[in-house]
Amino acid sequence: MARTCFVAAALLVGCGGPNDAGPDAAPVYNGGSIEIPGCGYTVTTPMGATAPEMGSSVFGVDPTPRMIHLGLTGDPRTTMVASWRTMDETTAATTIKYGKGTALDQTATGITFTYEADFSGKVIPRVHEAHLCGLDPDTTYSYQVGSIEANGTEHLSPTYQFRTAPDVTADPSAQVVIGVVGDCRGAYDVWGQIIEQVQAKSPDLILFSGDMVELGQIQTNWDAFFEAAEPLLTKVPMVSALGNHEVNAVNYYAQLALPGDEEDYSLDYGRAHIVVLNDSPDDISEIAGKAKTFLSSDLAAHSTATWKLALHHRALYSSSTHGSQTDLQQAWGPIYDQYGVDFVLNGHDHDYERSKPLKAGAVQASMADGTVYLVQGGAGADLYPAGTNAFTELSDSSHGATVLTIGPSRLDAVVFRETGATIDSFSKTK
Amino acid sequence: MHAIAIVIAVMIAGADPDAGFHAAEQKLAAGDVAGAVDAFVAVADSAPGSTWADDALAEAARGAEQLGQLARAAQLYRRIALQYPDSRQARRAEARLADLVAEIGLHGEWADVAGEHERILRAAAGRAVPILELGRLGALIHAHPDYPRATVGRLWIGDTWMRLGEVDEAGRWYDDAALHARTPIDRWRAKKALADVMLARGDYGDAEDAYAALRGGAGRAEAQALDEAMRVLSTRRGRWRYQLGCALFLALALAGAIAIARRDAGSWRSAGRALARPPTEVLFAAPVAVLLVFLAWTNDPTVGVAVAYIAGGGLALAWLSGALLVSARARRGAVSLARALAHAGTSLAAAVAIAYLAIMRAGIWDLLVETFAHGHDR
Repeated sequence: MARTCFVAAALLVGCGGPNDAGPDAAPVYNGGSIEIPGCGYTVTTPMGATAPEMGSSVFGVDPTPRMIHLGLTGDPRTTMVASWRTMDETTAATTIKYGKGTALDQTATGITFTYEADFSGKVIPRVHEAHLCGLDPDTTYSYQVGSIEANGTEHLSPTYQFRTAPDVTADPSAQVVIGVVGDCRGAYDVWGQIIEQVQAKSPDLILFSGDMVELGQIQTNWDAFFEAAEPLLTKVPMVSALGNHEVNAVNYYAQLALPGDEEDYSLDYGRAHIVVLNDSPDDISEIAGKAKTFLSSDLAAHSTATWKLALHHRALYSSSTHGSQTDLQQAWGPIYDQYGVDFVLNGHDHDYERSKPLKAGAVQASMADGTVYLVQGGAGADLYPAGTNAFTELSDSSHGATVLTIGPSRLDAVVFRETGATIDSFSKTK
Repeated sequence: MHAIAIVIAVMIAGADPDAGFHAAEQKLAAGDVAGAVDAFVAVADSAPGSTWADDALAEAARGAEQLGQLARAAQLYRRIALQYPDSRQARRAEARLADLVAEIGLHGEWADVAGEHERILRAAAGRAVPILELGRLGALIHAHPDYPRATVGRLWIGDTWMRLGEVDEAGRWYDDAALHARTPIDRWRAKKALADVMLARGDYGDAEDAYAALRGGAGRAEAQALDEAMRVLSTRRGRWRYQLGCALFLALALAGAIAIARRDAGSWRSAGRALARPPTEVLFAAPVAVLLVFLAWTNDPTVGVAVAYIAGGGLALAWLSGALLVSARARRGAVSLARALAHAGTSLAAAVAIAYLAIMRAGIWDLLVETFAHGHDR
């Protein structure tokens, strides 16, 4: 899904798509969009999903919310998206109660849609999304999601809290902590341990470099992923890059609320400018076409950002099983060099590897002179052997995650195993 | 001298917290962690109402942790939580403070030992083979057997030995951890690690029993970990059985080939001579095999290993097969259809067995499956 917003009493305008045919019409899975004036962006659902609609007063047999997770489609300082499903998959009522601090004094209606989740066409999950806009930066909010019947009966989740991103103009020293993970596909016990370890570092944002599931069209994979991640993702928003195992399935786009077209997009979080790319599109010519054009124009527009990070699945430089991806080196490497991207965050290979600072493939003397490429593909999938190359600073065949602490002129990284033991740590100062 | 430096730092920070913060970060970048900690604290002391104060204290606390000064770090985190309860750093400070109190004790009674523990772990980070740190931590645990985090330390040592492939040494530390564990969850982890050791040794039956015995005391996360361990066990056992089957088949085929060669040649000496002579196809195939291995190796060393095994095994198979046929023709003039079919069938099965063993030996089975399912990396 993509791009929307609700302010508490915002008036929703426009609802395109085939579902306008009426409540009794058979659902049509051609996607659609909703524009929300209060937020200034449009939610678009992909082919394979119904057009998004406002939550209605339809209640199923068990409207209990589940698989709650936070995402971002707009400015992280002032917006947040809560997504969930219900036990019954038929409840269309979609409500969020929220407020500053511990208050739950505001209510907003969200949107909902369904999608064809697997090859059979018989698994039709219903997604609920509430887009909150006009929030205050660097502020803690409480929220509950679910539905409220006309008689006042509530089917709401427990209360969770999130914090909006800081406004670095108002608070120049504001640090943000970003967790980086990738490739948990299938092994959700290790993923659960990784979640626990990342949560202990109190991150503000999670970056996932793809391969959340073994196969993108298998809904049970997604259910296991979100169930294991719920303790973290109810408190911290996650943005992600698409991995080859997601196979560009509707399940990915339907369940994750991401900025832009959800494939190639960027966002600013604290002093970090993060550009996210799809390196496994259905049409591979997009790598050197659409994605390359986006990357170049986006970095040109954010050339003054203090920290520039790139997130995608396959690694330009890796010494493990899949190895270095030469098509990405050719298409995107020169742009990373041109704009001085600090760190490129990848997965695909199931190990940890940090490159030396590189420019045009050549090792540089210091981090100030080149880009460091990080493979962090150990969120659960069976490990690959770690290799070494001339560009390798450190490699380790371990499950784990990376946490970046990003301040005004210093970035600290800690890499740790699912047990919490530290694998690597490094810093960059500007 | 140190006091003068702090006074100067406070004066700088008081005049301009921004400049003070950046000066402290420069000290960190230069490796002067102690100086940076003082400078960050000076920023918070001199401009407590500024937006820089909570972040400066957080930096100071992290620096103190880096130095192993855990009691001081706890004090700084406590200060953030009390002075800046609504700040972004407060949530992190409270979480870290809770962990630190567990590490150093409620009254900081284990602060020195925990500090040394922290320094050892930081020194080990980034080292492929942290032998020195393994020894230091082992000595620290032996010197302080009542240290509350001794079990965590033992598990770290076991994990590190395990990662280095020293399974027996890892097992000794896990055993020790299970024996001395103070909490049920630590004991469960140690016993799970011991079962993992059995799995790594290939003692599948014992590992299965050990995992099963852990079922009772498991929570949801632990139950998931056991499910995953059983899945891995089942996969490895299945693959081990296939590999054993392949190896046995190849051994039988080789023994059969030698026996046939002996029968066809009439004596061991003649059979040896017949088998020692390379058939023509091997002379053609050998340079091709070398080229394939070279190409595979330069492209991907992991795949190169598999190709080398397959090429080597294939050449040996072609040699043996060709020599047997040459020997049979020399003795009987023609080879019967039944024998030709049996020969071809056995050769084909042997080729498959060699390829399977080579792929498993190189550890690229999963990669092949992924490439088949999701296409080739570009």
